[in-house]
Amino acid sequence: MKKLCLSGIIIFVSFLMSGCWDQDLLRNARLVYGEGFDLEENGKLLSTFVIRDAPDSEQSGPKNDIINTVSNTPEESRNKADEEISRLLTTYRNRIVLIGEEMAKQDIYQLLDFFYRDPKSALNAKIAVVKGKAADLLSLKKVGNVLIEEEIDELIKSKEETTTVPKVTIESIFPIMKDPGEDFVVPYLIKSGNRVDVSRAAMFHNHEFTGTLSTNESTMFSLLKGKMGKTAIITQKTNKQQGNKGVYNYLTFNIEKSKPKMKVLIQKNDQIKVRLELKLKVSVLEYPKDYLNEKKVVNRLNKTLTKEITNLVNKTLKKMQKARCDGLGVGRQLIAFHPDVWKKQKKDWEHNYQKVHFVPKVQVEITKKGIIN
Amino acid sequence: MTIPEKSKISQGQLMFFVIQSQVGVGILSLPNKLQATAKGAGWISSIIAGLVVQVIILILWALCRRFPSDSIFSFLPKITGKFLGNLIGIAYIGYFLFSAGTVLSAFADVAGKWVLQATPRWALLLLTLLTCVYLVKENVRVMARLFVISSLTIIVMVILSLFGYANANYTYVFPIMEAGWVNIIKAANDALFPLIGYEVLLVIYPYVEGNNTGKLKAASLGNMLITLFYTFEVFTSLIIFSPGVMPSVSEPLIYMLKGFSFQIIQRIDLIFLSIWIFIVSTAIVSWLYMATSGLGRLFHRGEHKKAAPYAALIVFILAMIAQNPSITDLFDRMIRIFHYTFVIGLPLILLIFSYLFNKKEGVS
Repeated sequence: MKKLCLSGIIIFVSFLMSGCWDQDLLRNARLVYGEGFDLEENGKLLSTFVIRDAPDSEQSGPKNDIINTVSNTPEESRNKADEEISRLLTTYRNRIVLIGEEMAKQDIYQLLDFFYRDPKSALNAKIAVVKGKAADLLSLKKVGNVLIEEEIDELIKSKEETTTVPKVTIESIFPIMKDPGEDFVVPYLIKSGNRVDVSRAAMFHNHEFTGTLSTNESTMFSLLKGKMGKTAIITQKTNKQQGNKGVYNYLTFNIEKSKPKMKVLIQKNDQIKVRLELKLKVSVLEYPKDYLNEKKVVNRLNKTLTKEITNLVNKTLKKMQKARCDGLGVGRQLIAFHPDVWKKQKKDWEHNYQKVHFVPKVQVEITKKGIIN
Repeated sequence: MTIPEKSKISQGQLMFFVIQSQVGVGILSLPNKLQATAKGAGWISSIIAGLVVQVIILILWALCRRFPSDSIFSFLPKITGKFLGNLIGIAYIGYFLFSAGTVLSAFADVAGKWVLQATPRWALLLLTLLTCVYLVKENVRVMARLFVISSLTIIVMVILSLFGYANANYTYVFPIMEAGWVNIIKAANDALFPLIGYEVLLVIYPYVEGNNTGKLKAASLGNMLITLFYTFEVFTSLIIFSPGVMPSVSEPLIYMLKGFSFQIIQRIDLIFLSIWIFIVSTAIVSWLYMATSGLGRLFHRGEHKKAAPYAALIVFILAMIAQNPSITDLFDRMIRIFHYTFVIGLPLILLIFSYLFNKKEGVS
């Protein structure tokens, strides 16, 4: 009897106590999949939210809803957007955070604080800078048949694989942003017609957007940083112009293996010298001009490529120094291994960084040539 | 004191008992605290703390060794006389309950902050305590068995933290001696408190089978494993979060997992937290058991399970009081003083006393 009574009570109570305080049902939520921030002319913040709605019927796919709000802070803009839509705006499925060029030139940490503070936010969302306005890009809604936020997310991911843009998420830039000795580089998106182009990188210094890297430079940056994706394809001019058979003058290769090494040396008068070693093993993808089984040809090409890549590295580093972007973390090395030098230089590090003397030493070796000679 | 055969535990189980009592809430915020004083050398501090704990374990062991079949509550009267002995015993009970209360309240703080924001505090405390009481009512052997199983979760925690190495930057720990030895030792002092729990030795010593040396080995091995585990976690956090960002991340261990996602699981930090809840509740069980075994001896003729409900009530009230930060801070400071008194000071005095007056089992 006692047992029966007890089990009766348990069943009764469990009926009463279904659910809990923290339940968060999907049907009460509107999921934000992408966010964009722009600077308005009056200094306010223009936020764009991409909300994905589940399809009404089996046939039709999910649809996007775009909301723009103007406010003082990102959190305020979220609340404003929430006022304009039914159900609750939730951001824990957020995939991308886009920042308009003008906004990025201000401090971007101020935009990201609430991502870091909120226990439910998706810290693995991708972050990128957009040429022009993020709102314009997101308002495309669809690229081809793919929803805009999915297209951008997937595009960035595939470009990370090809080492075209650096691999970053909101989380991975957090420790770097707060570190005085290092800066970060994020993808730079361009709206081209009705499509999105992901091939460049945006450099930052002290939370501020200071310049862009071209496709090859961005690849070089990732290689120097030791963050190579699966492939890295570069087309390089190897011969002087000959008539109008243009293709003969170029060689396209894929980097199979990349081994960067960075050493920070302190010279007299605290002049900082950075020795960069980059060993590349490449495979030729396209070279119509010569047979590649001849040692002489390969050696000549190795030399030419080494020279060209050295030039490219120099160009990349120069651009980074001009933008004051210490993406390779020279300052970090100083903090860690030469703290006394850092103490002297940290006050004016952004100018001292521009005076850093980089000495790249590149070595390119062709190891594969495909199935023909 | 006679121990029934069915509550005897083996030395291996003693090791896990020590491990599970030591791992608690402290580990989550430890890297943050150590970095604040010792900078990149935080992991050295945690090793030093482990060594200090080893010395304390030696003291406790030397004391327990003189009374191999008595727990602290029954050998106290033998050393200091009945009245004073029982009085100190009650003080120890107070310390154990207080520790349980602070662990529980810290647990509720973290769970409330990270996962269950809308759940009221009393519900969190109640649910945890009810499960704990359910276990505390059993004998030592049952607890020890569960502790052995739940120690597997520590391995899972280590594996999950390994994911963090994807974003690691080893230069963050350099220059190692930035803070200097003084600060490293200071931080080691901070690291002592997340390691508390080994005083469970005072209570369960008579329940362990085997000779004295074996028991010391088991307890030391347990402490060594935990020190290694803590050092690993501190080091991992130090190389993931730059010195600049560490002050703003109060629970680095969970935070570093937040950004990772797999195909099926999007939030690893939630998985980590649910595993960690298991580990925290075993620590609470251990504290509660220490207190109830004393209460049982003093008031219930040795039946500790009768004391479990009201001991849990006291812990619940303590954890409810410690809601706002100022009281939590006060509790933190108090627990430090208590720890020094009850785990280092008093046992040392008792040990000296028992040597001076030749008090040990069989001699009175």
